This record gives sequence, C-alpha cells and structure tokens, in this order.
Amino acid sequence: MTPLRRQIRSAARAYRAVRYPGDLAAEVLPAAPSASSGATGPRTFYGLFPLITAAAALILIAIVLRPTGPSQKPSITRTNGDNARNVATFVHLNPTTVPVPTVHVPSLPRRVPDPLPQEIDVDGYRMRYDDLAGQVAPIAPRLRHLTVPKISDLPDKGFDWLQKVWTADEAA
Amino acid sequence: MDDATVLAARLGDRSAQARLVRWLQDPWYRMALSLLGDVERAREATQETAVRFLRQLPGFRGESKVRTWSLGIAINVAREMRRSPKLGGGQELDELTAFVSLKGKADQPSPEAAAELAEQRDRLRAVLADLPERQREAVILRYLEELSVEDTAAAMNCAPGTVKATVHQALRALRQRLAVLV
Repeated sequence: MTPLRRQIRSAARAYRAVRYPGDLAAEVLPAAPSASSGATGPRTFYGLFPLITAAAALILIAIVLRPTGPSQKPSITRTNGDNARNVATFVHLNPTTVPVPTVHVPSLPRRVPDPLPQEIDVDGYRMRYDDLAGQVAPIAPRLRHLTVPKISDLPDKGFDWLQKVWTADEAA
Repeated sequence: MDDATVLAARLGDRSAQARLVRWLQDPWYRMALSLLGDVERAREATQETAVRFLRQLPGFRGESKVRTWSLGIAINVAREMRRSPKLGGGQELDELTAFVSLKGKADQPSPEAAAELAEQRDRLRAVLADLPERQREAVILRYLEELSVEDTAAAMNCAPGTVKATVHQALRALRQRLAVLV
C-alpha cells in the first residue's frame, strides 16, 4: 500500500468517526417526535378530539332538525280470503274512466265566416269557395240510376250487368 | 434507508422526515466540516442543508440515492457559505483540520503508531488544504465518504468522466506534495 493510500485510509477512518453534535431533526423539525418516543397514537387522538366532537354534534343537530311530514309511501293492507284481490288498495283494479286519445282534424267551415277578417283579402277566395261545387261537378260520377242493385242479384247478373247499370246503359 | 421511509418523507410524514434527517445529519456535518473547517459554521451549514433538503424533498425523483442527492445539497450550501460574506465566507480555511484532529473511535493504536498516524494526517491535511475546491470535494466524496464515481458525479452535479479526471489530478497533486514533504 502506497503512503498516499495509507494516509487517505487513515483520514477516512477519522473522518467517519465525526458525529453531528446534537439532534438535527429536533432542531429543524420542531414538531418531529424525538428519537426515543415511538408511540404517536394518544397524541394523534387528542389532536383529533375537537374534530370528532364537532362532527358528532353536527350529526346530532341534523337528526333533530330533520323535517317531518306525511309519508308518501302507499298503504298496503293485509286482507283475508273474502277480499283477497285487494292486496294493494292504492291500485284501481276497476277504473271508472279510461283516457282515450282524441284527434281534432281541421276542416273547412261550412260557410264563409261573416263578417270576414278585414286584414284578409278574400274576394278571390270567396268566389272560388262559392264555386267549389261547380268545380267538383265535372269529376263527380254521373249516377243515372238512383237505385242500388241488391246483393242477391249480383251472382245472377254478373259484373257486366253491374257495369252497364252504373254507366247508365239503358239496355241493362 | 428504505424506500418506504423516503416515500413517506416525500409525502410529508414528519416521523419519516425526522428519521431521514437523523440518518443524514452526520454525512452532512462531516462534509460541511471538511469544506468549511469550523465547527460552528459546519453546524450552521448542516442546519441549512437540512432545511433545504426538507424543502426540496417532495421534488426528489429518485434518480440517484437520497444520500447522494442530499450530499449535493450539502456541497452547495458549503460553497455558498464560503463565498458569501454574510454567511461567514472569505475566512482563511484549513480544510480537514477539524475531522483529522478528532480522534477516531474505531481503533486505538499504540502510542508509536498513533504518533505516526497523526503525522500522516497532518501531512494529508496540509496538502488537501492546498487543493482547488473541486479537487478537494472530489477527494472527500470519493475517498472519505467512499462514494462511487457515479454517486460522486451526482453529488457534484457533473459527469462521471469529470469526476475521474478531477480525482486523478487531485491524487497526482497529493503524491507530488507528499513526496516533497517526505
């Protein structure tokens, strides 16, 4: 071993023997537990005691001041054999009315309203409306025979006879 | 020191922080004492190191050992104290005086061996005091704290190659000066 290495090793031993004079953790961490005291349970409990007390008081106040009202739950009654179907009295087994949806279909008025609203220029529409029957007449079927053939005649006469009747063929 | 304690300390557990500080207080103090050469200033630097260590601990990423990382903080504190007049810098320093003058507890050699050992320590103390700051730090970390090259580099915040070169230069200087003294 060289003299340098021997001296360094000797210095290292002396170096490692040096200790900090005191408890540094206690100096820089005032609240830190000392090295000898390991149990922190009671200290923690006493530190949390006010918090636990406050929480319990809040729960108690909430229970006392809780609003009370009629129960919204349906009443269920137990029945004997005579009225066994009425197990739940809140259910209407035989309703008196049944809601049926109704549809209101818009339709043309039977007459032109009189007086007409002033803001609507209806002269042209009035004429068309009054002449509505005349416009429909050309496309309406021309029914000459007002009597309707009986159903009992249909098997004997056939389709040709029926067509002649409806098309006003006098020969029929 | 186990990882669980380090993690708990990072998360703010006072008990874990106290265990860490008690585990590291001696290396911090030795480092400060060897770089500052004064017991009171070394104690002050150690306290400052502990304060900074606890402040920076939540940001510790575990990229190096916590001991190595904290020694880097101790080195920075010692450097600042040496350079800042407010912190007592500018004084004539006699590095390694304090620790080599303290008797080690590990062995109690014979009077002759103890005298020779003390003489070697005095010589080493004298030559170490003449080294540049970076070489002195490298020698202390590498040979007195017995850190690896990588840990020394992490503590000095430099590359491992820089540590090797710095230590090599320091040892060459020490050999030359010890040869002159011998």
